[in-house]
Amino acid sequence: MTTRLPLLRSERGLTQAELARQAGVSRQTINSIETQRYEPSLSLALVIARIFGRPVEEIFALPD
Amino acid sequence: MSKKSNGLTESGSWLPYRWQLIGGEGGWLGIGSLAAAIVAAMPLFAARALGWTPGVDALPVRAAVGTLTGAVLTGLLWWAFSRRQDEMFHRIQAREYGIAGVATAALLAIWGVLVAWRLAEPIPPLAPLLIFGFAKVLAGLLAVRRWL
Repeated sequence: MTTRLPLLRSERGLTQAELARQAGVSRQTINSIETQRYEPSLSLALVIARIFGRPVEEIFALPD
Repeated sequence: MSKKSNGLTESGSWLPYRWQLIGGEGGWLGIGSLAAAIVAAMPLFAARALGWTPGVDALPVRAAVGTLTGAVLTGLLWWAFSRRQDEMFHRIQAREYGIAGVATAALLAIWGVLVAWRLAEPIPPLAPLLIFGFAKVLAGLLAVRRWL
C-alpha cells in the first residue's frame, strides 16, 4: 500500500509524534506506516483520514 | 522526541501482554481464541483421566487430533485478532502469540506422530512450554524486523 502521509503531515506542519498522539498510536507506528513497512488497520486509516479532513483514498492507495 | 527509543520497549513488544486489548477492536476474536485454547486442552485432560501419562505414553490419536484441531483454531482466531490492532506494537505482541501457538502445535503434532510410530521418545511435559517460548521470541524478532 502506498501513502501520501509524509507529504500531508509536512503540509500541516505536524511531527510524527504529534500525529501519533492525535491518532492514539506510537510514533514508531506512524513512522512505519510512512515508510510503508506497516499497513494500518482500516479503523486507524479512517482515524488518520479524519485528522487530515480528507477521504482515506487520498492518503492511502493500492500500488499500480 | 528528546528521549531516544529503541522501538522495542516504547509501548513495546517485550512488556507483559496487554490483556485489555481483548476488550477492544475485534475483542470477540480474542475471546474466541482463548475459548478455543481451553477446549483444545480438554482432550488432554480426558486422556489423562483415562490413564495417559505425559512424557511416558504416546498421546491417544483421538486426543491428539482434538487438541491439534483446537490449537489450529486458536491460532487462526488469534491471527485474525492481531490483524485488527491499530497500534503496531500490539499487533506485534498478538502476532507473536498466534505464530508461536501454531508453530508449537505443529511441532508437537509431528513429534506425536513420530512417537506413535515409535521413532521418538514421548513428549516431555515441559517441551510445549520451551517450544512456545522459543517460537514466541523468534516470531517477535521477525515481526520487529519486518515492521520497525
